[in-house]
Amino acid sequence: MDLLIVDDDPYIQRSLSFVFRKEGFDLEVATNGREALSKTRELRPKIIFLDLMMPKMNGFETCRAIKEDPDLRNCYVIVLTAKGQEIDKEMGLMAGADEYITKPFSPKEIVRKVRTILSRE
Amino acid sequence: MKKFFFYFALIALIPLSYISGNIESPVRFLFYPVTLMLTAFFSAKAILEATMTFCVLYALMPFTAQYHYPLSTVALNILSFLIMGAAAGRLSEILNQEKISLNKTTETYQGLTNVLNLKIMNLQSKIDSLSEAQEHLMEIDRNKTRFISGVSHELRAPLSSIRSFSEILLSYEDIDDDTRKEFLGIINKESERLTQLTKDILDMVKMESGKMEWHIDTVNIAELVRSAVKIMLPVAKSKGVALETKLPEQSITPIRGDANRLLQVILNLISNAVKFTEQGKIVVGADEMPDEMKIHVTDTGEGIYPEERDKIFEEFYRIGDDLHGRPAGSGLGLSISKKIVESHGGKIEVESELGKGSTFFFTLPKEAATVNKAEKIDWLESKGGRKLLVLEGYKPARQVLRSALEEIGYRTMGADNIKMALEISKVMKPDSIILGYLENEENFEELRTFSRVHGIPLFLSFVINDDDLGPQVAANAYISRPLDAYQIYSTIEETLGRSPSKITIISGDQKEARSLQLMVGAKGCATDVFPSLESAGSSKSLPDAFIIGTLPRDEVQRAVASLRSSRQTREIPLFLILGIMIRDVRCIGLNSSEYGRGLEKILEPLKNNLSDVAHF
Repeated sequence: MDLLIVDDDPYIQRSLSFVFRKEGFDLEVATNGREALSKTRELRPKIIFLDLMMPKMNGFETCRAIKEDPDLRNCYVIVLTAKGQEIDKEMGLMAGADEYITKPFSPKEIVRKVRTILSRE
Repeated sequence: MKKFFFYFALIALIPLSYISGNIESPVRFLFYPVTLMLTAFFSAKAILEATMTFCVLYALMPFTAQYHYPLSTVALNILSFLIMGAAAGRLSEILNQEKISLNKTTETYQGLTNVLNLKIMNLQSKIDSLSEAQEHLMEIDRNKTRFISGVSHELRAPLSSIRSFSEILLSYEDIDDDTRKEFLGIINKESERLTQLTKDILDMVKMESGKMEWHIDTVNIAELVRSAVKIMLPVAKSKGVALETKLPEQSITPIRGDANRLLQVILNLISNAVKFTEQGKIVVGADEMPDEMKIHVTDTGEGIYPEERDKIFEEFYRIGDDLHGRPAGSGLGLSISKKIVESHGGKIEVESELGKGSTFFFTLPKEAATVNKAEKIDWLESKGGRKLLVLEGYKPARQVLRSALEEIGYRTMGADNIKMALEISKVMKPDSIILGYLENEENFEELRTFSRVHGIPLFLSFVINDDDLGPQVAANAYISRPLDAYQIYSTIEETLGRSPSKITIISGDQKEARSLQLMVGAKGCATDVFPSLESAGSSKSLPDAFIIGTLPRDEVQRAVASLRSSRQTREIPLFLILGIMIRDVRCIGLNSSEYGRGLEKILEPLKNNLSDVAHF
């Protein structure tokens, strides 16, 4: 499994999954933190796109849970959020996120980013 | 009293000498230490008098005594007594002078302490008002930051969709028609949402800053409810929810308000109800109460959790946050509705039962509280159009201020500098002068004096940087910005409605007089300042109260005595600022008229800070 997209916004899910499928990636979608965590355990995605504001378990908590799990901590977590403030970015990075992208974003750039990360491995 | 004791002590020496049997001893030697000791307590004059008396008695002694002495011995003794008396007199004089100069120093020190105390009070009140203002500004700032961060978050979501899907459509040629249509549909929907959001944010900002333009007219609530239902019917139908009206049979009294904005509130409530109702019906109605109109929207939806019932009126709070999927709307609908209702003088509330549904209702007073035409005429008539002089150096600002005042019903005049304002005031006699921003504050002193003497209150509508004695302290009241008609009206009327008091301040200390003048003046009293009682006597009209500050000791006594003895001034309340040098002043008659008590209130801060202000 290449990617896990975690976002409660159906339009973000739709656009990202459309683009990545089109580019030939293998991906799965989750709509909240708890679902994301169980899918991460089960599928071991290489990269996780994680929204911050989500019901049930929010992005910060999810990120920390993933990074604290020795089995999962190798997943590359990209926080994807509409919160544009410095403090949110810091909190995201403190929670262990590897990267931080604010909405609105360009799908093409994201694809490029994913390619670079995967080629590094 | 002390003096008698002294005489007694000396005279007692005479019989003592009889008993001792020898005039030569011990009387003669007792005289010197007794006289010396008493120099500390008596004036030179008293000591000399007593010495003379003693000498005469002493000289008479040889004739009555059993023993006879040579006259030369007696004469020599008397001479030595006289020399001793003179020396003691001189010593007492020197001591007295020292005492006077010490007293003077204490007086000066006390006077300075008074001035310092007044300064400290002024500073303290400034610090208080500053920290209050800062607190207020910080609160505004916090709210703004929260709002902006909310706005930025809300704008990013639809923008994100638009950007992603348009880029996808541009990048990939091989998208099938259905998907293409789906994506275009999303872009279209999200643009609509963005438009609505922008509109709502603008409304919100306008209402927050008081810049919303209200179109106040007669509104028929029943009609409003009917048209709202008509607009929302298709939406409700498409969701399979019934939408009904429940209006009283008889016609409803029309109220005053902004019809479009009130319709916006009802539409918002209905659209929320439709959003959260899966089955059942929505009832929209209005009831006429004795002094208000009650409009309600009841649904059979899922209900609202008790802890959410207040939050839903907050900006960007959405019940949908805890649900799956994409939240609809801007998250501002209810906050805007709340603001609109409150601007009309009403209240919006919610009642809800989980699983059964919710009722949103809002009230509108029949006498609309918003500034409308009817009220404008009212103000104009009752106040007979007061004349106000607007002193503001910057023309556009002056025009804004003048038109705001005229809208309320005041007559206005304009001036762009102090000199011109003074000239106009002398001829036109305005009821008050409203100060805006001044490029230079030259002649400000003259304007202040003019306003005090003629009892024309000064209002400040702009914060000016100043030193201790600047315009802020002199102004009677502030008109805060942004300009709000009702606030201007109430501030001006409250100040002008107060009967202006004239207070005469008599103080030899210029700085103290100044501080007193500013403090009393800031309470809306006109003040006259005189350095002495004589100069105060030259004033033709009588004040409503006297304040006596630092004056030479006997002058305070004289002032109090003369003010209390004159028939004209006997009843006028008199306040003394007591220092050490006037400790001998006695309370002369107690006059406490109703008016005096009112003034006491004005001088309350003075009293609290200078614990020894006395009221005669």
